[in-house]
Amino acid sequence: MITWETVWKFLWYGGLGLFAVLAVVITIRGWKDLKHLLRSVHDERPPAR
Amino acid sequence: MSHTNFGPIDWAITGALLVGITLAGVWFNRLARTVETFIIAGRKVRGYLGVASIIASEMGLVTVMYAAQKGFTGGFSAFHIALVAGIAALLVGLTGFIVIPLRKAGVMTIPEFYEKRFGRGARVLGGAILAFSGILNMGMYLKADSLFITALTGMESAVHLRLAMTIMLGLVLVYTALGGMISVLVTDYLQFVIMAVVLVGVSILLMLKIPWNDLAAGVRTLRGEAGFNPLAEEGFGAGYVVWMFFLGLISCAVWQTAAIRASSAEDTAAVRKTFTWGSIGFVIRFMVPYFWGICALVWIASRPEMSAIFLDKGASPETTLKAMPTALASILPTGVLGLLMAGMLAAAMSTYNTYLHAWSSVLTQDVFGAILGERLAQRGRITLARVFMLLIGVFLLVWGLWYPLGEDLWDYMAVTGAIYFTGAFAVLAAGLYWRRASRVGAYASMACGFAALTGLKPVQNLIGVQWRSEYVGLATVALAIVAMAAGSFLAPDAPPAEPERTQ
Repeated sequence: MITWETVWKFLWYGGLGLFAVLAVVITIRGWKDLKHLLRSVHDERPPAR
Repeated sequence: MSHTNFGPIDWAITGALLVGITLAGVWFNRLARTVETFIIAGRKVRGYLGVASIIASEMGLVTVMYAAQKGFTGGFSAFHIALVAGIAALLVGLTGFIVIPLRKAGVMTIPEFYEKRFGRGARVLGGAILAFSGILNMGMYLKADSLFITALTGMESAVHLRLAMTIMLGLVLVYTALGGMISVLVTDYLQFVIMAVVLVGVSILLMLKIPWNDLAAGVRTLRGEAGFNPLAEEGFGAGYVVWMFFLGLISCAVWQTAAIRASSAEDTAAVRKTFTWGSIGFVIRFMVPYFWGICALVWIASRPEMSAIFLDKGASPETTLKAMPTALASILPTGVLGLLMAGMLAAAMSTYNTYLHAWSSVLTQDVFGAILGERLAQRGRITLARVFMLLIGVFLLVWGLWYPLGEDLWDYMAVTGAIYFTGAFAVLAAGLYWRRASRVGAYASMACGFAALTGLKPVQNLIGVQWRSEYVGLATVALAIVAMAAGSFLAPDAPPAEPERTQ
């Protein structure tokens, strides 16, 4: 029988594990996105006189 | 003074973080040249950076403190709040409810949408209510954060504590005011990485110290069935679960700091990715601190000298708030405590910068910008936003730290937030999805948000009632929806004038 404790145990281990994996992915891909953003914003600046 | 393992190494780690993040934020201020770059980073934020930013900014130290308190007092059944918040964020990500049409509308703030849909007056009123509600809501953050720092470090001098918090807020003000959204995104990314390491690392250490079966047995003894079943009326109850689902929906679709992520996104695909994957962050931001609070509960219960303070029936909310950091200061070793402090300060700073940025943007763009129009030039708007950041920062120090507030902080925060979001939900949803929604309906709906004030205990005492806050909140939402419908049917907007024919 599924009890509330089983539900929370599944949510805890599943959620924490998923977050750990996601955090690694976001760290790597987010770094690329950040470089893209900074490059784009930098390129948009008016040329220095 | 309670025992703490916090030592010089921990102070060094904490100091290095503060200096590093501030320097990174200041370095990128040179890129903020236009209002659009300052407020929404030129709409160039891609999905993964959006996810990092939304998780970092929506998980403040104040969230950790209140969530840990819920875990401490409610046991595992508090996990339901994390679960329904995650489901709500996932639904928003998958369906694009509110956030996709908002992105397509091309607005920078939610009140800007009000103007497009309901006229300039709605924007000014909506912006003023949003800023009022948000700044009051934020006013309590320093209070909760200071309790965490006190308990973790064992620092007893109130003067030292106030100085430390003033310095931290000052550092955030410097880089947020200079760099705008670009600095917010750069520092949010760094803070996300630090926070993720700390959240997962500390949780694993706690699981090694206190196995799951010991936790479950402890919660069963101390909290009974209500410690597991969220529907048990002696615990949270069904009404509370429904209210939490609505709050989950609000916090990712209607709350300005989350909705601005939709505005900053490069395209609608990035919006969907941000909210769909961000849903895991919305679960974690609550569940991890609940778990820490539950660990604190079981740890404290096994120590008579601590349980006499924290598990006493008359323990004040401020005492139970300090339970988690007090327990962790004893459980975790030196070095790890420094990382925990660094991670939590990262959480606090990423929230402060986002909120300072959000409320100053709303005041600049939606209240003063809308009133002054073209008379307020681009440079003037950025300067005005910086002035508002400074003023909000001063308010935070006075209100949250130096001013001795005498009421329950969670109730205060929930009610101040509800003043805005109960009305805003009806206005946004109707404005985006119902063609007949009218200006009068929008005004009536926004005004209804003030009914949420009856959720405050002092107001209830004044009018002689005892209502549970979740029922007050849900009733206010219903009232705002009815007001929108009634106002729109009774006073519809005039149809747009026919364009004149030219011969």
